[in-house]
Amino acid sequence: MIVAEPKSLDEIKAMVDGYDRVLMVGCGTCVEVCLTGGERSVNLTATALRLARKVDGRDIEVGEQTVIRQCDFEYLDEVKDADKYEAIVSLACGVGIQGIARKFPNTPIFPGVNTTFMGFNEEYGYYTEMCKGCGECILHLTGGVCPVARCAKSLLNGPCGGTNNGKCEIGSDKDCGWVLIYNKMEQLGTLDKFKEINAPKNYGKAGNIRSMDLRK
Amino acid sequence: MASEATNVNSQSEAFETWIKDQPLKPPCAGACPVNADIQSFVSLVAQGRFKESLEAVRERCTLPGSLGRICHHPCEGECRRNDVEGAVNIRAIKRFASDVCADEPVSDAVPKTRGKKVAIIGGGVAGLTAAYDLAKDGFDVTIYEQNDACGGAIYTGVPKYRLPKDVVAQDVAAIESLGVTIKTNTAIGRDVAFDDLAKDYDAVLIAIGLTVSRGIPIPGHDADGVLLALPVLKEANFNDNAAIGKRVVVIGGGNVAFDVARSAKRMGAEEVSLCCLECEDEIPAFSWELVEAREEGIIINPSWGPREIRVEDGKVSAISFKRCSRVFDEKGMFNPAYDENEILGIEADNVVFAIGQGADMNGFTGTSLEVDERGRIKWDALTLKTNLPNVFASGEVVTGPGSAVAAMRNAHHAATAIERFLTTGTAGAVVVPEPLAIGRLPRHTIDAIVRKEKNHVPMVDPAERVKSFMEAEGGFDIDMAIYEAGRCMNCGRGAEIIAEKCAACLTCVRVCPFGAPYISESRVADFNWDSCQSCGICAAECPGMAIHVGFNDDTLINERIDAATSGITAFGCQLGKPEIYNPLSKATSTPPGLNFVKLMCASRLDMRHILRAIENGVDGVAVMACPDDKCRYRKDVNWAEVRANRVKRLLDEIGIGGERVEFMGSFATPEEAQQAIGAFKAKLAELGPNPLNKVMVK
Amino acid sequence: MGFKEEIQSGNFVVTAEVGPPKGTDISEMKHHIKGLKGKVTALNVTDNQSAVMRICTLAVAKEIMDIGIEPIYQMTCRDRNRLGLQSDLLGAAIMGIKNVLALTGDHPVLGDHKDAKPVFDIESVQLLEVINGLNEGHDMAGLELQGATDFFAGAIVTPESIPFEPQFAKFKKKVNAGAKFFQTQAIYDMPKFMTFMERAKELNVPILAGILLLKSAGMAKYLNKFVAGVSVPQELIDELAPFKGEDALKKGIEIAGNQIAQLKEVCAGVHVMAIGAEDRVPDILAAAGL
Ligand SMILES: Cc1cc2nc3c(=O)[nH]c(=O)nc-3n(C[C@H](O)[C@H](O)[C@H](O)COP(=O)(O)OP(=O)(O)OC[C@H]3O[C@@H](n4cnc5c(N)ncnc54)[C@H](O)[C@@H]3O)c2cc1C
Ligand code: SF4
Ligand code: SF4
Ligand code: SF4
Ligand code: SF4
Repeated sequence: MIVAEPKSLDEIKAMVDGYDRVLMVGCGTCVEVCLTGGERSVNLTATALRLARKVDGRDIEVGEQTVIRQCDFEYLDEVKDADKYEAIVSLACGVGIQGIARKFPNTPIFPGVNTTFMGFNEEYGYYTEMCKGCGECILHLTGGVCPVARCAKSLLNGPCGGTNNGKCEIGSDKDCGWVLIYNKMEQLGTLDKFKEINAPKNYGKAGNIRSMDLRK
Repeated sequence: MASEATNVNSQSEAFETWIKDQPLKPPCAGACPVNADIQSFVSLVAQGRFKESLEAVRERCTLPGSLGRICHHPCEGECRRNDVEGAVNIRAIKRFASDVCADEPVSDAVPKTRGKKVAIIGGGVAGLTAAYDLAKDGFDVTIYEQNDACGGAIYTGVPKYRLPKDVVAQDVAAIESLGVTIKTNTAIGRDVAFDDLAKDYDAVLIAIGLTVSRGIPIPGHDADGVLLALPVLKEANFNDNAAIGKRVVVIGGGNVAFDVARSAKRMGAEEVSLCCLECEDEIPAFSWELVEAREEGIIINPSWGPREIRVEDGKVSAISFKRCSRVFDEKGMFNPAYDENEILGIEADNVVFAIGQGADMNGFTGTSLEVDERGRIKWDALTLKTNLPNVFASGEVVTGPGSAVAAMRNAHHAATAIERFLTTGTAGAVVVPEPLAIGRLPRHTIDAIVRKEKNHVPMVDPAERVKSFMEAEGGFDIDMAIYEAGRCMNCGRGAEIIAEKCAACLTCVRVCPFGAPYISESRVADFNWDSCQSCGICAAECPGMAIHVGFNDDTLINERIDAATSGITAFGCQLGKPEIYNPLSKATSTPPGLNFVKLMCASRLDMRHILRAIENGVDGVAVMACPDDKCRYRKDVNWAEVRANRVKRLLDEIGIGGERVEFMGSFATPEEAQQAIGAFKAKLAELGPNPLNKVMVK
Repeated sequence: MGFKEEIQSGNFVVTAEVGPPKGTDISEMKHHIKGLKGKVTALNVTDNQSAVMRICTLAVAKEIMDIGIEPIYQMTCRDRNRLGLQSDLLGAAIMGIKNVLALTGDHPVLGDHKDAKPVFDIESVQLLEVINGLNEGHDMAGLELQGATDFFAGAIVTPESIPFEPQFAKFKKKVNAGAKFFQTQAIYDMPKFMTFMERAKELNVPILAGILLLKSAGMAKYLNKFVAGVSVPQELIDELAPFKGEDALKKGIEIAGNQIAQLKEVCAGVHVMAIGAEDRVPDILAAAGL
């Protein structure tokens, strides 16, 4: 699932500074699940924005809507009365924000969240990055633990010298991905695979302007 | 209760709507013969809204003060809290609501909008209940009561030490105040002819109860000193100098027999024994009657059948019993068998028969009312009708002996029958929907529920209480009542899913301390009401705002928030204490300038609620949450604090300032709470008014 | 004989290191380098050490060569992608640099440009393979070079890393990827290090033990707390504890000297790190009897 974190109110307020009627649109899928872009977030953010502007002595009208997904035109059809607003703030992930930008080409669109990563929902309110979308999955080589996403340096051949009691050198609150991999492979009895040198990744698959065509 | 709904106009429709709107009721309401909305009135007491609570009781339990004392409370037997540590003391809460409002002015009369008149014969439990319903429905109701006051068996029969007569009078006065005409000292048959009544009124209800005690024609039964239960009880109730012999033997094992035995003790008898056919386990009286009677020194002799009363100088001197080997035969029919070889003799100055009551039909002989071969009114249990088109009957006269609340239930049905008859012109079967009770608490939920020991009502010491007819059982004081009411878990009024909004995100599943939410086969959240405790934690976290909590409805909360546009709005647990009881309003109230929004649990507090209060213009918001060990809900997180902190940060960003929200703990006394509020007020005064207001002024 | 030849002929070698400064004034650095002339076989040049931005390695390696010491060119994968790394290696080759130490590099968040984009296009094991390839005359894309390199490639290992097994597995990978010599992270626990050396025997690769000069008990405690894979035993801390300032430094030099003396029979050499006290390296070597 895509994880996004809320933008600060200051940032949102500054973005819509020139507008008096904005529509805030939430997304009922990933960002709702990670508690940042669903109907509740829309309501809280819209209220906060309204109050902040009131404090400045300038009222703002903030419409609130939430659709099932902003990454599909069909669901974006559910957005009503967009023409009554001067701008749209989207609380969807970057994909949805661009979706709504394409849907309403003449309306300025502002992001209300920072899209951060593809994550696992560990528990209430806690998400961890699990995949970088590298385009060349090697989980079968690494005991089902992704070294690209879960090693801070995306190393492919074992822990760096900074590994520290199972934690990563960038912070003792983060697990060292390579210790996880090693332990998992040990558990699976596949350590002989660990010995093999993994070739550099083909980063051509991770970058560029990617698309996928299954139509043929 | 749904009676506030606008499309509802009769008592019975209101009741049916209440059931249909939410057919799954807590088991207490299901077990209650009148299906009282127990959790509502209990919750109102918990919130300090006593007068409202009393009104909620009265809707179905028309004699709250009386039933708060004598009801055998089957509700408590089914209370789900039994599986935790003990039932909620529902009866005592009801009594409290009535007692605390004892000096309340009675209600305003209901306008008689129906243009039809109903006569009720007999102002007992059934008659009064039907009068309540029909008066509320807008009929012109007159009760004809042969005694000097209404109440029936609970007035004349139930002894004062269980039910003081002024309590009955208080209950009756409330019904009278609805505009019911009560003609006391007016016996039908003696003072007014039944047939005239049937002609003069659009409908008549016969609710004359069972007012004649029966005896057994054993040898010596007509001797001086042989008495009947009801006259003895009447004497005890109304003659301050009532006396009885030194040695009294009561025959019978029902509640009436125990009332007689315990009254005899209070009338001065030194040796009271009670003999009944049934063996100890079969004794029909309530178990607590046996306990209390024994505490008072009454000797209980089970499995004895009366054989002969010995008479000396025309006066009772002793009575002998034969061993009763069984009461009911194989078919379960009353058919006692005796062993004549085993005899028990007891010396006695008085023998009292307390073996049952019959109806006094004298006032109806020779009228158009038909009776069967045994002299009982010909009556249809479904339509509650007699042979006459506009005459109905209800209560024990037709149902036979039972409990007061059962008579009430039957009377509600009778009122429904009459209302429909007078509305439509035809009488039909009264089919009343039965609520479905939610299930028992699952084990994992029981484990997660915080234990809160049951509050018992105080009882006067046995040695003391037998000295007079003073009331034996005490009531709750305000603190006890609020505590006890706070034990109610509001079963079955919890989280409901708004399916189209649910993203199946699992947040509710993860935050619920009781394991109630789950993702159903249709891939949306659903809630197991057997487990849900209505705390509302989930609803305040659900990112899709897809959860509605019955008992903690957002609309209701918002209404309360909107009550203040200045000063401080405080949120907190309904059991929190920023308030002081106000004897005038019969409710607790907050100091001026404080709008206290009560939530089932402070965990129900939504960030949106705080923002709404701020947007309304209040200068500050106080969040009061109990410390975790005081909270009635077990939770790992102090949600109220978490949410208050989140809003503080947001308010900082908004430019209003997070210091306008203050998280406080809970308080042991209202004074402590007021002190904290005072300090907060001072802080707010320094901060100046809510910046939103300043802007508005400009 | 050069560094490679000394090692290959089994002589006990001593290396030290120089950290390039941040800025263009290199007088102090040069002074240190000069002090080491004739005392060490080769001198490591660190590469934006600890992810702190400094003078580039190549330029400093040039200074070292000019002074007359053989540099060991440290190359991390943090700041350059595969294009940058290979082209720098080719540049190093034409400058006459012979030794390369392939490292992954500390993460930028540990340094002074925390917001930098970490590159790590490849990492140490792969870099060793890349160097092999360049030596064989082709680049990573398999394209032929106009003139191959002839690097003596090494790598590092952290013998006291916890957990150790993954570290050891990676050590083996580095050997397989073509590392011809190893320098270790600082070691203090001799018995533990001996066990490591015992296990490393099978790999048959020269290992230069890392000797980090302890300047005070406080420094020892700091290392234990904050530097991964380094643990100073309590005895050493106690030994240092009574001393302050120059006395403590002297004690540290004595300890380091002792360690080197013990290692003479076990290791191919030592790599002496005297961060900020480079001018005392000769004292350490003297204390070791070298
Ligand atoms: C001693 C005793 C103790 C009891 N204790 C309990 C208890 O603890 N808990 C409990 O739940 N129930 C108890 N009950 C039962 C309860 O009182 C009855 O179930 C209930 O009173 C029945 O109501 P009713 O209206 O049918 O009859 P009643 O209450 O008996 O009312 C009938 C009324 O009709 C009047 N009347 C009769 N004939 C005429 C006439 N011709 N004209 C005018 N008026 C007339 C009578 O005076 C009386 O007021 C007790 C009953 C008795 C007798
Ligand atoms: S410590 Fe582990 S997770 Fe962190 S960069 Fe090194 S190998 Fe990767
Ligand atoms: S806890 Fe309350 S609602 Fe539940 S059964 Fe008991 S009294 Fe009724
Ligand atoms: S928290 Fe709300 S959206 Fe999430 S599963 Fe529960 S009901 Fe559905
Ligand atoms: S209201 Fe409380 S008990 Fe009920 S499902 Fe929600 S969190 Fe659980």
